[in-house]
Amino acid sequence: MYYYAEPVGRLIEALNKLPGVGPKTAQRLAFHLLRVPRSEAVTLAKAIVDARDQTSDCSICGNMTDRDPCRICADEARDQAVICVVEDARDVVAIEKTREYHGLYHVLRGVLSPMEGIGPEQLRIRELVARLEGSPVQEVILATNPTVEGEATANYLARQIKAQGIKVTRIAHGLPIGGDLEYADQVTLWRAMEGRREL
Amino acid sequence: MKIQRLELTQFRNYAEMAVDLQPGVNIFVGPNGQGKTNLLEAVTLLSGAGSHRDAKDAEMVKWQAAFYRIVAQGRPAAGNGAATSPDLPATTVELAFGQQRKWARVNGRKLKRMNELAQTVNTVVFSPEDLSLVKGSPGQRRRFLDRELSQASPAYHQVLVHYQRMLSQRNALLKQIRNQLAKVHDIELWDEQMARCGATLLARRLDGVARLAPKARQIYRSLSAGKEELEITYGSSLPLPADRAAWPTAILRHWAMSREEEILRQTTLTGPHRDDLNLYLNGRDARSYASQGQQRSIALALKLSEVQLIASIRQEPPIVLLDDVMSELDPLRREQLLTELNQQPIQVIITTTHLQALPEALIRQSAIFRVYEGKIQRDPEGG
Ligand SMILES: Nc1ncnc2c1ncn2[C@@H]1O[C@H](COP(=O)(O)OP(=O)(O)OP(=O)(O)O)[C@@H](O)[C@H]1O
Ligand SMILES: [Mg+2]
Ligand SMILES: [Zn+2]
Repeated sequence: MYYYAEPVGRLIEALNKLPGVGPKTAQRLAFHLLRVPRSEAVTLAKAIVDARDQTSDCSICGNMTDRDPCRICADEARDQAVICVVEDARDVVAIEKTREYHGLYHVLRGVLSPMEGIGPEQLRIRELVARLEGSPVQEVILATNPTVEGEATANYLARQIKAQGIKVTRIAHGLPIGGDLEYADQVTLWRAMEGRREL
Repeated sequence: MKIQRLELTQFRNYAEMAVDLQPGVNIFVGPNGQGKTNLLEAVTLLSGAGSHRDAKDAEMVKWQAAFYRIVAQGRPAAGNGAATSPDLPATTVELAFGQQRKWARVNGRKLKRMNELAQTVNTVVFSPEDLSLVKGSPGQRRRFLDRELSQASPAYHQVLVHYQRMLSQRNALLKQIRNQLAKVHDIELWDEQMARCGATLLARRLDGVARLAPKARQIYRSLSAGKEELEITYGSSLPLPADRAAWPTAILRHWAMSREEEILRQTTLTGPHRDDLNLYLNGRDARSYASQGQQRSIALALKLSEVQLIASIRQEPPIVLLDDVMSELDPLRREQLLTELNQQPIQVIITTTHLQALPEALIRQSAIFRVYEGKIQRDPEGG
């Protein structure tokens, strides 16, 4: 059966692989890209490649960065005594947008999930423990999502970090249970940060 | 809400179908395998609790099609028990599934969660399988309770889903511990939140049963002409102290005690997911002693009490869906059922293979529709 010219078919297939993009949307996007001026398509393609090539993970906090260590880790004006632990780099962006937090971050890249075979070793927990060892950090804020998995991960971290003699707090659940940090509005997020409790 | 118009697109064996319902009784007649139950299933989906036959969404998309869509238009009730008010604006409920995604809209507003649908549409289904509710598995009775409480409160559904998620994670972890892929004390990471969630679930179930039991007893009394007393209690698989605030701790303690066995069996042995509804007739366990007829009466009483409970909580009776069940009941129970449903202005949808299975009087007051190969036609014969 003949549907599309072969390169168009490949474009649709590639777009279809993106999260939240179904076959219909992929087709619409592809046809849109074929109609815009060539320069616009090239700009998009280059932006994708550049973003890929010019970013890496910060060797200290694991956040996405264009230089290592990242701007946050390198900023001496930030409060070196507090680390906020988040699930992934998008959460750093969400909290940074509130402009209310001035400490450092640690990105776990996931949460515990026995169902998916994700245990502590699959997360950047060892890096966190090593980072805290002999550091000036006095408080670790656990800001994993208030999901079942986010809670369990926070419990695990609390156990580990308290054993190192450091104060551990958990952001308050001003957030809906089962909610996603990413979708929370900034006020809710901030209130949750204010109401954090020690574990 | 009562449904005035129902439209199905690529749902099960319906390609494109629209039907106008009446606020009272609607009867769908047709031979086997023509789409009667499919139609009822579509209506149950509109109340957000998932398919009453536990079908997956992908299974309900018409074969060869990419999505299904269900749209219902109706009017909300004007208040407790009152007939739907023509002054209130019409409500449109839309539910669609395609490309592994499902979404719902009420009057064009997209819902965050499917279970929010229960704030607009409520349904109670009664099908031949429900007649085995008494002798059936504890799971069947739990499901009855869960479906009902989910409709009474969307928050209940959320807590339930949350609990089930924890249970899956906990069981996966037990398996890993058994295979020495995880440490025994890792189970504690999940237990505390699960015990809290389980306690909430238990409290809501006990309260639900406490409201349901007297209604069911009343209905059963009239079914048995006052000769037998039906008693319903909640059977917890965990010992629960009187003080509810102490439940999470009690659950934790119990789980801690059975840990070894749980690891050995690789599953969570006690908790709300293992509980049951205890049914007694004149003080004897109905699950073991009730006769066929008594079992049917109990099932009927449970279902009708569910209708009453949802009606009192949501200030409007649910849509009652009777799937092929009339022919399964003897004339006396059939009369009781209809009398009960006639006490309130309830919208009822009945399916049957033969009109003869239904009382004459009912047929005269009902709208009748013929179902054939995924097509529906109103029959002028009805009222
Ligand atoms: N996804 C689907 N796509 C197309 N057809 C389907 C799909 N799922 C089920 N069917 C068909 O729908 C038909 C009608 O099913 P339904 O359960 O509604 O029958 P029914 O009218 O209730 O029959 P009965 O009187 O035997 O209960 C079945 O023959 C089945 O093959
Ligand atoms: Mg059927
Ligand atoms: Zn960094």
